[in-house]
Amino acid sequence: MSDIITTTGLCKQYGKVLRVKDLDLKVPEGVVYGFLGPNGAGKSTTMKMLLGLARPTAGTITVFGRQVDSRNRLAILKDVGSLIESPSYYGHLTGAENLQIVSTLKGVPAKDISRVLQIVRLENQKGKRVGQYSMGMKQRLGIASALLGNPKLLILDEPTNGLDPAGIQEMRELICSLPQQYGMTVMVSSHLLSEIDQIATYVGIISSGELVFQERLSTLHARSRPSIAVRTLNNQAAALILAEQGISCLTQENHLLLPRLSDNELAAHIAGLYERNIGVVRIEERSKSLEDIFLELTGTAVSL
Amino acid sequence: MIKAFTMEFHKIRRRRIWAIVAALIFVQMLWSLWGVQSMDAHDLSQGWMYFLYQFPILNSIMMPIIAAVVASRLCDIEHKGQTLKLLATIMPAGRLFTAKFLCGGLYMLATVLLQLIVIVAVGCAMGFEGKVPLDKLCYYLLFTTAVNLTILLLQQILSLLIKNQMIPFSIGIIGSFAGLFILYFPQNLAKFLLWGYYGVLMLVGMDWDRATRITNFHFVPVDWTGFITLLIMFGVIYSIGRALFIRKEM
Repeated sequence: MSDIITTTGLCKQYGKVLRVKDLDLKVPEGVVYGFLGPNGAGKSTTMKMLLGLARPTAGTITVFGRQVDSRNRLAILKDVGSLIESPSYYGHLTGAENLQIVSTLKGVPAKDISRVLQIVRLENQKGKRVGQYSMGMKQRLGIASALLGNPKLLILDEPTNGLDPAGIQEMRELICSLPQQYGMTVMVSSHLLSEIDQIATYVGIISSGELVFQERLSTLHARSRPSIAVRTLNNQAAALILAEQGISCLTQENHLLLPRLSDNELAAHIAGLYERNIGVVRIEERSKSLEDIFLELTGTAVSL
Repeated sequence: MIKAFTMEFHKIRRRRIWAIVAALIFVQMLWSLWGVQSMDAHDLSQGWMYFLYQFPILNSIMMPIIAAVVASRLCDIEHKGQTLKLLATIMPAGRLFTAKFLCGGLYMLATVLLQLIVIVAVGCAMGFEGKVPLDKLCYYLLFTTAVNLTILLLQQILSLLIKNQMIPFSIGIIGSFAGLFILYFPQNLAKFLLWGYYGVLMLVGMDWDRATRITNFHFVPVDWTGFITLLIMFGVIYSIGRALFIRKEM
């Protein structure tokens, strides 16, 4: 699987503050890439740099295998749809008129308007002025506008912001369906871990402008697998005995952390400790939640 | 470019920019009718010159405000709906800048053309002496349009770069008053102020005899130096403004 977006040493400085530091993003093709981070971590700034709305202080951006510069930026962006921060619209015009302007400027046939309106389920509201739309409808219009021309890559910055729970669910379903139905790659940012957990297949976690994790979501989940905490009367000796039996364990606050074992295996190892006169006084199952991992990675409390 | 230009007209549907132009022309028509109703034979003999003297003065008060309103109406739709960040991903910023300017410029040109129709119609209806001075009216069209477009350009730059439209609008109003005020100062001083160019490029001068209280108008030579200075100002404002807009980060 090739990477559709790669950045190398991407930095953005505002005044004296480095908002994005040496970011090395890799967004594989055909995935939903969740770009997760607390508020103010640098998600929007990064996305703006990918779209050329902000100039990087240092570093390079490669999209579709071509290094982006001021000359080829718009040619590359022909295959990119975007929604940054909040939807862009002309409130005094109808939904259809708004899309007509974008489609003409993008050079997309007008018939594509009805297709994207159908995808975001706005076809019955297309004659209404956008100023009278609800926030959810405006957000869907923003997505429709991004979908015009069937781009290969969609960059969505917090697309569920301001939506009600039903709207959030609808938006998630729509985003999840895009790679399978239209072969798109979607990069979606959020400060909500639960949201990324539900829609993304790959995840990049940014904290204070630095990328602290970038892998498949399943790898992040793997980190949250439960472990067995055992407390004995002599942890040091117990660790050596377990190591002899091929079990590597970590020591954490008077406990030994063993990897996940079946009940029979665990019973056998505990019996082995008794046989060597090591008293076992506690056996607990411990699991790290995704939030614990996020907290560990970012040092910031996660919004749920 | 044609696409970008036509889209500007699509964007301003229901914004009624033409109403501002119509209102201006209506007010100027009333003004000119009020001015000519009590004309005697002496006044009618120099009626065309009277108009070519009065209208630039009217323009220096009204046109900067019209330019500020037109530019603001064209640009605040982009700020309100945060569309600049979308447009920046689908078209070159420089093209948007030019398209917007051409769209606003067309309204400003239409204003001067309508003004000329009013001048000719009222002049003919009142029976101004002599033929319609077509050459002078062509100069009037050229000079007024040139000043209008330069002021529109400045207003557009301010309206695009500043979200709060009260700021460019206030600058427009201050400029219009300064332009009127500077008419009472030597012309060389007026050349330093963009809004003063309606006066600098006036085609008619006025002599007022204090003793007889008779006003006489006379044609004055065209101030080509002033016109060239204005064109240079336009070029400088255009290049700087366009570059600032292109460099602007969203």
